Amino acid sequence: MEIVNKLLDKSALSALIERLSKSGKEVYAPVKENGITDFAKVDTIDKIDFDCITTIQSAKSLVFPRVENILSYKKTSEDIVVKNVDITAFPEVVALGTRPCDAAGFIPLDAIFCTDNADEIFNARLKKLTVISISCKKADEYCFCTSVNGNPGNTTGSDILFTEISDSTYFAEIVSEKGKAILDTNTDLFKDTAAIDKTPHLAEVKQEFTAEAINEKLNTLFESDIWDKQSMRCVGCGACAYVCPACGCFDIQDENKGNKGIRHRCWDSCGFGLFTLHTSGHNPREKQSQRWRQRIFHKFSYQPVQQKQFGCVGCGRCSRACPADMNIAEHLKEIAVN
Amino acid sequence: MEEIKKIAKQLLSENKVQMVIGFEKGTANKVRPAFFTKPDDVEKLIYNEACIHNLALYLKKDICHHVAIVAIVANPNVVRSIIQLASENQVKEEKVTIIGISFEGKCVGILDFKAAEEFAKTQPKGLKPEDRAFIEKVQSMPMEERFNYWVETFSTCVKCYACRASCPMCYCGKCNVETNNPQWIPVASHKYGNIEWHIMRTMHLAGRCINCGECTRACPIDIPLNILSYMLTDFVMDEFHAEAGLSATYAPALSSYTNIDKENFIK
Amino acid sequence: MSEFEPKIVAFVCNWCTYAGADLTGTSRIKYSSNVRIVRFPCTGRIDYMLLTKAFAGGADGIIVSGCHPNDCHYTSGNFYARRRWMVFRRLCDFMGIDTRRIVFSWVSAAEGAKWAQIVNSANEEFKKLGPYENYHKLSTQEIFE
Repeated sequence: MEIVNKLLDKSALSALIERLSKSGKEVYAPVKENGITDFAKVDTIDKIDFDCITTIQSAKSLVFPRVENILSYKKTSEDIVVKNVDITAFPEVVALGTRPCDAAGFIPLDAIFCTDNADEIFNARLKKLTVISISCKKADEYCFCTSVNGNPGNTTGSDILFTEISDSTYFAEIVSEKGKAILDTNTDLFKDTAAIDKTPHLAEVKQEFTAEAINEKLNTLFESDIWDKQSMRCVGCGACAYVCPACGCFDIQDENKGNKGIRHRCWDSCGFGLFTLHTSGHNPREKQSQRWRQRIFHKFSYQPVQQKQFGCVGCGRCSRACPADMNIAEHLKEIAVN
Repeated sequence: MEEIKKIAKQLLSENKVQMVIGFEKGTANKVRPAFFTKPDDVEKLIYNEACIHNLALYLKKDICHHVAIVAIVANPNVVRSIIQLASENQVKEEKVTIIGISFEGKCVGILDFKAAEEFAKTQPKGLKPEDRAFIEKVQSMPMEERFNYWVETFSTCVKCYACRASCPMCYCGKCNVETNNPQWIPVASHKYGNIEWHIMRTMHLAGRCINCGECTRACPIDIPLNILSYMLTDFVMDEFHAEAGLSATYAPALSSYTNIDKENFIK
Repeated sequence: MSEFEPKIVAFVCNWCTYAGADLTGTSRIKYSSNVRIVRFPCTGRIDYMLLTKAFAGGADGIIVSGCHPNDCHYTSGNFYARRRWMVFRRLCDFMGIDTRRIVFSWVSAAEGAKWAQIVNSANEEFKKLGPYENYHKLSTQEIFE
C-alpha cells in the first residue's frame, strides 16, 4: 500500500499508548532500569526512554522469545497425551520505539523461520505484532545501518514510522495495513500533512562498505587466514547472537517432572564451542576462528543465497555487548578492502 | 607503557617468546585484547587505566595451544589468575612469561612464578567497601526476600555464558551445562535454569575466584553475579584461611582439607 | 484434614550411614517412613547440585549423612565433603535457600539408634516448616497442563 503521511503530537502519542494498552494490546517500549535500557511492557508514556541510541537486546523476543513452550505431554495410565501450544492464544503485541534497524531485523528472521516450511508458532506471533518505530536522531560509533542497505529513517519492517521533526511533533508514516488499522481506530489523534523530508531530522551514519561488496569478497575468502587474525580475542560466548535482531538459532529441550513434561524452544548461538559437536565426538567447527567465519558467512553469504536476505541490519548491538570488543563493522570493513 | 613495550619488543626480537598478549586501542575510548607476534607490531600496544580485562583467560584458549612460549601483560588480577591456574596444573612456568604491572600502572618487569607470588601479595586484595555494603544489604534481608531478590535478579539472565567465557577459571573443555547425560542445568533461560546455573558456577569457583569482576563486566545485562563469588571468597578466607591466586603449589581450598575444619551444623 | 507429610530425600554413604540405617531396621527401631534413601559410595561423591535437584523435584527436606571424620572408608572423602557443605550452606543461606531444610549428620554403621533419631527429628522440623513451595513453584512454573 502507499505510505500515508500524518502528523502526531507528543501528547497524542501518550494518549495512543494508553488507548492501545487499554484495548488489550501489550505494548513494549524501551525502558531504563538498573542502568540499562531494554524492551519492557508499558501502559503509559512515562517510563519510556526516548533518548537511548538503541536497547541492549533487540525486539526479536516478541516473536522469538528466549524460552518458549511448544508442547506439553502427560503420561496417563492408558496413554501419553500431547498438547501443542495454543497459537491462537498469543496476545496482540505492539513494539513501540524500535529503531529502523530493529524493524528491518524482523525480515531476515522471518526468512529463517519460513525456510522450506513456515514455522507455525513464529508466524502466529509475527501476525499479531505491530511495529511502531521511531527514527534515529543520534547514532554512535557502533552503528553501521547505511552499510547494509538501511538508514536511520528507513521504513522497511515497520508498520508505522515516527520521525521527530520538532520538540512537540512527530511526522508519522503509515506504512502497512497493520499501521493503517491503528490509524483508522485513532483518527482523532493524527493530523493530515504532505510528505516531509526526513533528512534534516535524522542522524548521519557514514557508509563504510556495502553488503553486496562483502558478499562478493567472501566468495574468495573461505580459506583465508583473516579469520584466525580477526577472531583471536573472541571469547566464545553467545552475547552477540542473543542481542542480534536477525539471529534465529535455537535449541529444543525437553524438561519433565514425574509424569508430565514440556518441550521448549530456546535461544542458541553458533559461537558456542560445542554448537556443532556431533554425537560421534567430531566437531567440524572446533576452533573459534571457524565459528567466527561461520557467523560472517551465514549473514553475508549463506543467507543471501538461501533466503535472499542479508542477515545483518547494522544495529551494532553485537559490538556493544561484546566483552572483547569484536567490533563487527570494523571486521567487515577489513574484509571489504582486503 | 613505554617500559612494557620495550620488554615486549625485546622478548619477541630475541625469540624468547612467540606471542605477547596485551592491549591495543579499541572502539571509541575502549581498549581491546591484542596478540603481538612481531616486534614491529608492539608499536600498537597500549596500557592505561582502561586496561582491566583479565587476559589470563586466553592462556587456555586454542590460540595459545601451538605457541611455544607466551608473554602476557599482567596486572595483579592477571598475575593471581596465572598463579591459580598453575596451582591447578593448567599452565607451566616455562611456557608463560609474566610482565608484571601494579594496579597503579607501574611496570615491575618480568616475573617468574615465585616473584609473581610475592608481587601478588603486595597488591591490594579483598572486597571494596561498596561490594561489602551490597553483600551486607542482601544478607540483612529476611530469607524469603533474599530468595526472591536473587530469582528476580537472575530472571533477566539470557544464559549467554559471557560470564563463563570471560573467566580465566572457567577453562573446562566441556562445561557442566553442556552435558546432557544427565542434563544437570536446564538449557533454557527461565528463572529455574538461570538460578541453578549461577548456583553451580559460584560453587565451582569457590576458593578459586580472585575477584577480578570480569564476569559482571562481560555480562550484557549488567547482572551483579560477581557478588556471589565475592561473598564466598570472604567465607573461604574466614573458614579455611585460603586465598586464591597466591601460591602456585598449594591446592585450591575445596580440593584440600584439614582434619580440624570446624563446622557447627553437622549433627 | 490430613497432616502434611514432608517428602524427605536422604543422601547417604554406603559404608557408614547406609549400614547404620540397616542396623536401625534389624534392631526393629521405628522411624518415619517418608524418607527415601539414596546410596553413594562416599559423601565425597555427593554433588551439591543433587540437593538442588531434589528440591526442584519436589523434596521438602534433605538429609545428608556419612562416616565420622577420620573414619571414612576412603580415608578423606568426608573431609572434602565437609568443606564443600560448609561453602554450599553459606551460599544457600546468602541466596535465600532454606538451610533449615537440609540436615547434615555423621552416622556410623553402629549408630542405628542415632539414624532413627536423626530422621525423626528432621521429619518433625520439616513438618513444622511445611512444603517447600518457593522452590517447587520455581521449577514447575514452566510446566503447564
